[in-house]
Amino acid sequence: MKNDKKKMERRQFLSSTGKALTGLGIAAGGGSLLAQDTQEAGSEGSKSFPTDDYDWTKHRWAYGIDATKCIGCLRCVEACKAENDVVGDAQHFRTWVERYVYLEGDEKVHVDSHADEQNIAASGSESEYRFDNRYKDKKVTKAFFVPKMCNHCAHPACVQVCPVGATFRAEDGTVLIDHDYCIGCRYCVQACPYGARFFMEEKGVSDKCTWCYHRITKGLMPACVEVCPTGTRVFGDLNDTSSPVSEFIRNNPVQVLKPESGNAPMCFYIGIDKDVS
Amino acid sequence: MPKHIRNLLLLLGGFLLVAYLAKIYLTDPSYYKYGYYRADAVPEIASGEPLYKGAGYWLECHPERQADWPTGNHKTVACQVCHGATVQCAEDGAMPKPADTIRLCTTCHLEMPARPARQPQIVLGDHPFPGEETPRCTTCHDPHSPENWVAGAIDTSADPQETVTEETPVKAPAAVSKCAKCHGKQGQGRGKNPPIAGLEPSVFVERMDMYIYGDRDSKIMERLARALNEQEIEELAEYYASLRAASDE
Repeated sequence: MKNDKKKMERRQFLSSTGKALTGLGIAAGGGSLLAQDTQEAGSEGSKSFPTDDYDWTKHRWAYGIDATKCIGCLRCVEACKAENDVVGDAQHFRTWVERYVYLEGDEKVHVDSHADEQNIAASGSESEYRFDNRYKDKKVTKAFFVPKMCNHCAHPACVQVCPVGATFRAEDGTVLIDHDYCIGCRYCVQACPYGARFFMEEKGVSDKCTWCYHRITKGLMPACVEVCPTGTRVFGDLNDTSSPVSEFIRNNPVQVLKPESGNAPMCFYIGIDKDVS
Repeated sequence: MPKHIRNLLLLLGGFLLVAYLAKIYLTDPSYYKYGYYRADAVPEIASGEPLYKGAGYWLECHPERQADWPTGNHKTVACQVCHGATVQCAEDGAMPKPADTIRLCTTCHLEMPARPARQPQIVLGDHPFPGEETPRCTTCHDPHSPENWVAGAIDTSADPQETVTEETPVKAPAAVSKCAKCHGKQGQGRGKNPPIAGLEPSVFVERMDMYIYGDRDSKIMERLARALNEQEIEELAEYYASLRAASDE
């Protein structure tokens, strides 16, 4: 008697669970059908995306930097800030320049960037940038400048960790941020191995270099490339073998920063040495 | 099944249903179109207005610059570098002139250990005459093509003499104005720059060679010596040897 009762309970349990699961399955199927409908409506036609004059499937952007030419004038930093309306203080920047100095008798390299306090004090202002001349009277054996920015990696760590899909890699190789979707968790700022991303406190979203997407989709160069007086920065389309960056990569032995991180960056450097990372 | 299990399962099922429907309703329709992101964001980002204007834009309204800037040494320096990154056309059509040229020019031209050697660099207080205060850069240099001197800025009385006089028995070669600026019209020296009049020609040539190969330490002399060819150096050596040394007087 007792056993019978238990068996009946078990059967009942299994059948009601089965019914519930079927019900959920039907709901899921119906829901996804709904979603598919909206998607198909959107991808109708073969209009060029994202703009009528620019088809992102036809370009593969890359950036080249010749660190042997950089004079550390920081015009790129100022031009980028003006072009992209970046926050005016020294700690928010989409691109920056680092100085590596080796002193005689010192094994460790000395690194400073334009956002270093001593340099800000030397320039006298948080929005005008200059490197100070602190190594003027020291015995310097080797020194050079290295400009840096978001590397727009092929396998970006920042895209992988974004919980809401606010940052993504576009089909033309640029990694972009959707400020409407960003929730400001700063996981991407943590994840980037190059420190290229930063948080904008006032807007509550993360930001970074976009290779001046609003310029390159119109056939212009990014602001930093246009302003650089020494030709350190080179930008172009890898699909075009005569573009400046294709020639840059073809004619020089290039390297990338932190290749071991697996991010596959698309900024190629000449003239950086072992301590640059 | 026991009521509490059934109720729990119903509750869970209810939550899942509500969550699923909310996701479908709240997700932007362009999401998933090209990947795990809102596809409409891309045209939004691409639609920004470019602010930074290239040289072509400025040269249209300032045609007088077409004569000197595009062929000068500053042809890679965009207008905004000196006139301001956010410069827009002023109402009277004039570009804002930078006030403190020493601060502006030394942004790129101050001697710094990390700067590559091919970049012309100066040390303040040493340029153009060692020991004398550096004057405003635009006193001597035309900002749009700095290799050209501003008219009247440089003492041109040291230019090559057309006639041969007792004081200058050898005709001065064209390149002598480069030396006279720092070593004096008679090669007598100026400030920290040593006199070069009366030097034996072989010594003169040897010293210039040492500057070229870096065996004598002077950035300015290295650059100037490299700018001369062999014939010019020999002619200068002849000329300065012919001048009486200051100690002979």
